[in-house]
Amino acid sequence: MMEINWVLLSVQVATFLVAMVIIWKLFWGPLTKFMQERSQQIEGDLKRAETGKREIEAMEAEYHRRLSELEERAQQEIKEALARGAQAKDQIMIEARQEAKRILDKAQSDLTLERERLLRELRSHMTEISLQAVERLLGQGLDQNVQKRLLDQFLSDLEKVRPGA
Amino acid sequence: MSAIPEGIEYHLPIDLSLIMSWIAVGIIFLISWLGVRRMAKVPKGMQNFLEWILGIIMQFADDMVGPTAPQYYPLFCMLFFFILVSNLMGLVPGLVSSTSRLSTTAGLALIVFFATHFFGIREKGLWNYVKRWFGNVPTWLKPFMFVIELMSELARPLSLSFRLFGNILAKEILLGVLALLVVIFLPSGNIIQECLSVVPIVLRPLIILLGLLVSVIQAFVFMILAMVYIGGAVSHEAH
Repeated sequence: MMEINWVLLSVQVATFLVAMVIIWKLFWGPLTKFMQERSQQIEGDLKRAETGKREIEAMEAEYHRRLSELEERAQQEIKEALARGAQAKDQIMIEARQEAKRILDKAQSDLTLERERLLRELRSHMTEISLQAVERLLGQGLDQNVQKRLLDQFLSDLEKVRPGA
Repeated sequence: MSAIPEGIEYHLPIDLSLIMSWIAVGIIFLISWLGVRRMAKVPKGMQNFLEWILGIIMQFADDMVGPTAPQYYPLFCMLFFFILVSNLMGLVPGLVSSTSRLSTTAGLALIVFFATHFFGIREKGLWNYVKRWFGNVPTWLKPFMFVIELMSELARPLSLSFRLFGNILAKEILLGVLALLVVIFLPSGNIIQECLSVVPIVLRPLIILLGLLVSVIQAFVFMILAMVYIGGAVSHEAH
């Protein structure tokens, strides 16, 4: 019981060592390798999940950034369009005013010319009528120069009394 | 004749403790085979149990030995399983713990002793390994330190083997004595002795429970001490 049997001890040691090698090679070694591979796989999955999460967060941030950029750009373009619209409106108004002024000026010019033409015609007719009236009154013809001088004087008097002249 | 009263005389040509060691190895073989025959990523049953135990042992080894621990996993795992199964076998009537024999426990302690120094020398080299026994003391104290360290190293296998042997033998003797008391008292015809036989009948299951606890603790202590010794030998940290 208390004594050591060295032969028995040696066989026990050999039994232990041989069993250790066989059991480790056949069972525990593959099992521990399997456990390590599983741990590594789980760690890999967790890392991939973490990476995926970070990528999604980055994509979300990028999405929000682009969205805000687009919103800013849209606002800018709306402002620019409004400004361009206002500028075009002003330009159109200016051009319309200029056109209106041009038309008005032309109309006034035409009117002036027409009035002058009419006045000239009127003057001519008046002259003829007056001469005819004078000829009838006098019953005789006047000297051409006298007729002309009388006519101009008459017209001159007539212009003085013409309203708006 | 067996020194343990409960022990059965098998009259075998081979020492009983050796046969019990072989049975223990067979049980470990069977448990391991059941654990790994259908390995699944989600472990169940015996695989789960085996992974749990091996995981604990490897974690302790990593903590105590350091990065080189994986190469010592087989020794630590086998020490724990062999001692645990051997210890528990003593609780089964008709079987004997091989660890209740000094030859067995001394063999295990010598394995740890030689493994410690072999791995230590392999890791550090002979001179660096021996140098640590002289300690960081003045030169004139170094020889004394060497003697003290040498005695400490030699005491380790003694303490390892006698601790395990004493605990397991005590448990077996206690169980045997209680069984013997029942056998003696119960059929004695003496009313007092018959009444007294109740005591070992009640005590024996409790001692078996205690034996269960002792078996696990002793296996654990032996393995942890082996880790401490080997970890100390292969570690490059200052002592």
